[in-house]
Amino acid sequence: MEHDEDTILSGLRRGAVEYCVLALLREGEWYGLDIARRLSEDGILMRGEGTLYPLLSRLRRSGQVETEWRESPSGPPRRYYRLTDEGRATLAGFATTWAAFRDAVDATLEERR
Amino acid sequence: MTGPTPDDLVEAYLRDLDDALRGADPEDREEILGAVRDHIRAAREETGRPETVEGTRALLDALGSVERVAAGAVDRDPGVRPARVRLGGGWVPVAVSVGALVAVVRIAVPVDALPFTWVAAWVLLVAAMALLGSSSLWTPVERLTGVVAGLAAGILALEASVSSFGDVVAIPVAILSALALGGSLAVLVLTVVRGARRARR
Repeated sequence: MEHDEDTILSGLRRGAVEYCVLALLREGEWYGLDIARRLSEDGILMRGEGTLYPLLSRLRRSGQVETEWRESPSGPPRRYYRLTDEGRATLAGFATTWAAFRDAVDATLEERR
Repeated sequence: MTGPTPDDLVEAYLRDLDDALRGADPEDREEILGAVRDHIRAAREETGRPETVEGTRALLDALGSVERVAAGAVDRDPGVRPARVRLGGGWVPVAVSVGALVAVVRIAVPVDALPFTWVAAWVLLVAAMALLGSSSLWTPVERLTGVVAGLAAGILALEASVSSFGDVVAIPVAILSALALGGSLAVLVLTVVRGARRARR
């Protein structure tokens, strides 16, 4: 069965997007809307801003991120997300694994040419 | 007649999302719904007032369909189509084995009270073999082996039913036929068992 681009991207997103969320949070706290926009701006990492929220919920429940409500300069309080120590360790592990994985995939693709 | 207002569109989206999240963990459902509601509220604040229906539709389109959003909570992603398994259900091995065995027994044992059911028996056997030959539970070689074994069992059963009226000279032939029939059924059963195991995975 031939896989179209959407199918391939969906499969890759499943394994990588949650780590991209952790990576965004590495440098500080982010608001959900800003994370969603950043990850979906090119249509590659995320298709549909709303798909972020089940992911954030899972990350929070698994202890990778924690949340805090903050006052908003305009409107009601907003929920901000930040990385936990566990999330930081997970991200470090992914970064190492991803580099090896990416290199192996690239090398294999090069061999096929 | 007036169309929906931006508030109507948002409320309808959130209501549909709530419905789509019905299969999710209750805590997840509440959290996701609240987060999406916050997202919409913040995005609407950014756009300023007065809001347009088109602007609200664009905002909701950017969120994605409620099915896609909910899929992440119930571990389903509509972007990934599950591999289609052709006739791969657990009922297939059951239907093949029951159909073939009932047919072979009926072919082997003439029932005077039901003179024409042998036709139904052959139809049943051919249908069972067609099912076996079409299912993705078996490899091509297994399908071929199973179908040949099943049809051979039918022919040998027919031969056995006819030779039961034979004389003493035919006894060795009948024994060989019975052995061949048993062997064919054994091959068929082994094939079906393999498929049944795969159907459970």
